[in-house]
Amino acid sequence: MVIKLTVNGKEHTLDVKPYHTLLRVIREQLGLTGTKKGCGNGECGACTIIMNGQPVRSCLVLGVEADGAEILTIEGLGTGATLDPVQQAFIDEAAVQCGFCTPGFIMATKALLDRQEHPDDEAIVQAMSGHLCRCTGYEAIMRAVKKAAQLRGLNH
Amino acid sequence: MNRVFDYVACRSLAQAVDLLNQPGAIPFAGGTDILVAIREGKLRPKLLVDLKAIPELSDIRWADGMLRIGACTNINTLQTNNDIACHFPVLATAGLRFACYELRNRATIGGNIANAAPCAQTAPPLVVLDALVEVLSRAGRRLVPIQEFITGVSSTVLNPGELITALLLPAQPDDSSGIAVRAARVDGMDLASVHLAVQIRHLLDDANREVRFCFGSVTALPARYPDLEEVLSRTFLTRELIQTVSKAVAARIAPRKSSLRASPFYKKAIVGVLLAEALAKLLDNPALACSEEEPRW
Repeated sequence: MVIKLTVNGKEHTLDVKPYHTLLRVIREQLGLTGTKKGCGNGECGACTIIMNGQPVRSCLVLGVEADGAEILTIEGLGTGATLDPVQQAFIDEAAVQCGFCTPGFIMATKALLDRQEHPDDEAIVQAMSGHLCRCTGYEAIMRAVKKAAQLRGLNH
Repeated sequence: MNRVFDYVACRSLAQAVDLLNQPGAIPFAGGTDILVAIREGKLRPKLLVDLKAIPELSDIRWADGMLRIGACTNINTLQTNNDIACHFPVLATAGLRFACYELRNRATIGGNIANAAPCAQTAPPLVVLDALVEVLSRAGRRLVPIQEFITGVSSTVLNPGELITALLLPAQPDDSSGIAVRAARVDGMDLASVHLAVQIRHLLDDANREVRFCFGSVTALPARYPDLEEVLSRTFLTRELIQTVSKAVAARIAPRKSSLRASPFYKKAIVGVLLAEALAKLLDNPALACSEEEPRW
């Protein structure tokens, strides 16, 4: 099935199988491998992207459902020269170890801060619930989300 | 995805009904249950009939004294929609601890009911609200009371060729309120171990108050006890009365032996505690949740 979608600001026309997930289309047909497959069931968060302004689990969205959609993946944040404040915050707070969960956490953080500029601890925890990290123990990630809110505030 | 199927994005209800009468065609909305079931080999559809682009199915509006919630309304919308949040907080709060934010952007109320898992968090609120399920087929529309709609674990009265189009909630008196609470292993993304919805009509009017409560995730079907609801209704609510009813619920409820996420023993122990807590919250009186007895552990 032929679909048209915009990914990180660029338009694509793709022929996709109806039973392929958006995750697979992004990774294998567009070569954007920053988005990860962790569990394939929507439970780990590693596949999180932003679709039409909302964070979703791309492993539970079919490619065909993204016809006409605007997609933002981790590759769409920042530029080659500068990092998005969320990315910078994760580095500043050493919230990245193996990095596998990181794109998902960063997309979720961006989506959270887009809807709530200064989330409190409870709001952060609930927004990040459903994102699993095996390495960091989450504390550094909490600090990174708060730092990201701060850095974004500085840019206004 | 290790299974092969076709897909159509429907534009109208007529088209959807037509397609659903093909063998192997199933209604498809958020996909958060269906795609997992396909991956696990539990479901092998030939055609996914995507309902999300059909305008009537995402509509939320008052009609004939009922709030009509389109079946494709996602779970986050249950909290952000003003009519639901203000007039049916028992349903809005059931969406607070429901999977995670990303999944709530996709999961739908129609899908939650059609899937009919015992842990379906929109089921107990719909029960205490006396909701109706609107079903569409070639023969037309029919309304099914929610308690008749769900017939067992993952089992409903929906036939092949049919789809849920809306959930209809009767308007509640102005002085009503409700809350959904749950016990789960984590205060975040987890299915409920025990889930409870409480709706109170005429909250502060002892003579006319009506209390309704319904448990999910304990028995195969949402569990209601109309006679115990009656004990709590139209009377001055004391801690002792609530404790009596809590103990009666705990004695009567029969958790499935195959209880998931918590043992039958735990579920029986916690139902009464949750009920007292929910009532205390709604009546804004924390003392109502206290037990006279020493804890048993």
